[in-house]
Amino acid sequence: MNNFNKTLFERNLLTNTQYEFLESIRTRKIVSLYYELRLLLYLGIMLFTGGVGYFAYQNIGDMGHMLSMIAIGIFIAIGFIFIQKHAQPYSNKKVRVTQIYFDYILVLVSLLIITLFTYIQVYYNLVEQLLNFTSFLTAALFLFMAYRYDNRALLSMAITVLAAAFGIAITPINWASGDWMVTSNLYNSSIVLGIVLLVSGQLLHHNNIKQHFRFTFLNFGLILFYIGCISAIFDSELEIIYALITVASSLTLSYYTWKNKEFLFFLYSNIAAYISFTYLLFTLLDKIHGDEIFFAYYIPISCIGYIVFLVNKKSHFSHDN
Amino acid sequence: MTTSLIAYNLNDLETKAVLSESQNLYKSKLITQDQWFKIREAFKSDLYSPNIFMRVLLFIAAIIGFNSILVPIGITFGSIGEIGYRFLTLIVGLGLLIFIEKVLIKDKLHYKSGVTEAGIYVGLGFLAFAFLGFDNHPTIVYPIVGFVLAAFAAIRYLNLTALVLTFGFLGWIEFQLLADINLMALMPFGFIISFGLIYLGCLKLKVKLSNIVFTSHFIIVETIALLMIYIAGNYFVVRELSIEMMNLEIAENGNIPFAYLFYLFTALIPIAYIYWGIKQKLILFIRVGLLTIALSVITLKIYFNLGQPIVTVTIAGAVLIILSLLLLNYLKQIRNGFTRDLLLNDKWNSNDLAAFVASQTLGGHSTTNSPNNDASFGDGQFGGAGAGGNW
Repeated sequence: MNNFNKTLFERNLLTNTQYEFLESIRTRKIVSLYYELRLLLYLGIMLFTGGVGYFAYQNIGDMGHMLSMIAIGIFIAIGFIFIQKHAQPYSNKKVRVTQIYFDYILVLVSLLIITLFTYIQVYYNLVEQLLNFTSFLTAALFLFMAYRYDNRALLSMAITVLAAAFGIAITPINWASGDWMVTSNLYNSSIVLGIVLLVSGQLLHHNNIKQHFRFTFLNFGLILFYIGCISAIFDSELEIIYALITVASSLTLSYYTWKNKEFLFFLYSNIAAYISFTYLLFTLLDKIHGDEIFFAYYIPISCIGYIVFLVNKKSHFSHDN
Repeated sequence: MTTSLIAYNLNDLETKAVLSESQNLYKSKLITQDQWFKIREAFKSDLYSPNIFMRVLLFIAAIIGFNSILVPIGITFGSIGEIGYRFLTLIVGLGLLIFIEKVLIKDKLHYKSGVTEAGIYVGLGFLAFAFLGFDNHPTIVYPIVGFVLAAFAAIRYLNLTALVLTFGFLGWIEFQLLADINLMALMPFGFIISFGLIYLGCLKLKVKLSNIVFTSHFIIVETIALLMIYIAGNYFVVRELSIEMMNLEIAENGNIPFAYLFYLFTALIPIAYIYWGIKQKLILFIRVGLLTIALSVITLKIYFNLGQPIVTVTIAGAVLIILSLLLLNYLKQIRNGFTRDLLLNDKWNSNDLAAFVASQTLGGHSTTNSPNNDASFGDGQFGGAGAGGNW
């Protein structure tokens, strides 16, 4: 079979109009450049904002900063005028914007805002004093814009900035002057932020506020939570407690994500559960001087047994899900 | 003939392909829900092909599980020397492949289930070790063994990763052959001709094997061929390889032989791809053309340094923004058969994952300096601090 449109049409599963339209795509009478043009725009925005930001940073100490800052400010202002002109009123539901560049301009303006913040900090030598403050401010601004203009990319950016700001805030070593070090407490803030994101995502979802944002909240929340838990197992001195917390939480979440058919989250939870459970088992056997031969059998048997278990439940996760 | 080479039943795969394409039509809102239900009823597939996340999970578990089988077996047999272990991996590898084919593919109807892929890779990996062992063979032996095993998996199990590897090994064989007979200088032309022939062969085979089951395979082979033709003629690749492999010493103002020819290739091949893509309305040529243009710009930038790379980046960014906005505006209506609108959803497109990737690449810099585009499967590379001090 080389033409499935024809097969469907011959079996009366497509109307004549549908068949003709699909054939015009297959025979290349019409070709969509949807992804290509968006990729160009995305690349352009990345290069432009990156270039402007770095250019500004490089030229600190020369003349013309005021001009640069004003220029970036003007760009942001023009961007905002465009955004205000085309934005739809706020709604708790998904908002459809008819203007096709809208989302891109929104991201461009957001990135220029970061550039301007950084420029001002570096220019006035305020990096060390203001870094946490501006990180939180940026996160708050992005969060506001994400909700106001209904944009998931901005929501992801807001959470990313927030995570970084948290990391910085609890790090005693001065991050701004270039000493970056993972401190003993970083995993705790990762766990806490993860839980906060998970709870916020669920609460907002329950209250019907931007339900389509739930995935982003849960995705970042679970990643932060599990990464925090697993780093704690390997880094902290309370490794058994962290391992127990991880096993309990990941098994509970595995159960719920399986029930709700949220397979990406099920994937995260299963990996975390396996790592933490294996760690506990290893530690326990180590403590009672168990036979090391056990481990040679444990890994293949547990993995293959797990596959058999999942495959037997295959009706639960067919391709259509 | 074709069907006997493939481990799967071709009719089953066709049904599955129709189902998957129709699901995409439904998701793209081109057919109604009622139609989709009718199609789903008419093309019922018994193949076991789970959704992507479960596939990843099964793949990870199976890769670890199958690989670690050797440990208990090794312990059971004790020290049996290298030949003994090679024999053992041969038996285990063959056993695994037979299990995958007879039990999973034929009986349980697994198709791209994650477990099958893992079994094929691990099984063939064991076979490769059984053939090669720890001995030192002439270099050309490695790509030949790799090629044979990868080609086997690509044809028998229709495995796309193995298909890419097949051509990788083929390129390595050609490279090694030319190096062994001291014809390094002909390498660029050799590659352009051989991958040109592969492209033409692929076009012929596409007519002969015209079946929707093989669509992705042909796209991959064509893409590899077009990219290899470009890479073989790229000035940076030729220059650096000449210095590295032929110990070519280039004087301060000197250059490699035929330098202008390779400059010309670097500049013209991408333009030729885009031109041909627009003329023939071939999206593959347009995509490869865009990619190779980016590579050419980087190449030419290395050798014609105009100073101020950041200015160039900024201007390039501005030009791209303006160009794409102009084109988006121009293609509001269908012109010459091109449109800016989405006709069919890309099967891989997901707004949620796109937002995630965007935040990782656009959200300023990453503290680890390794933007992870593959983070959609969640190994948790986060951390782009927006307002950081790196700018």
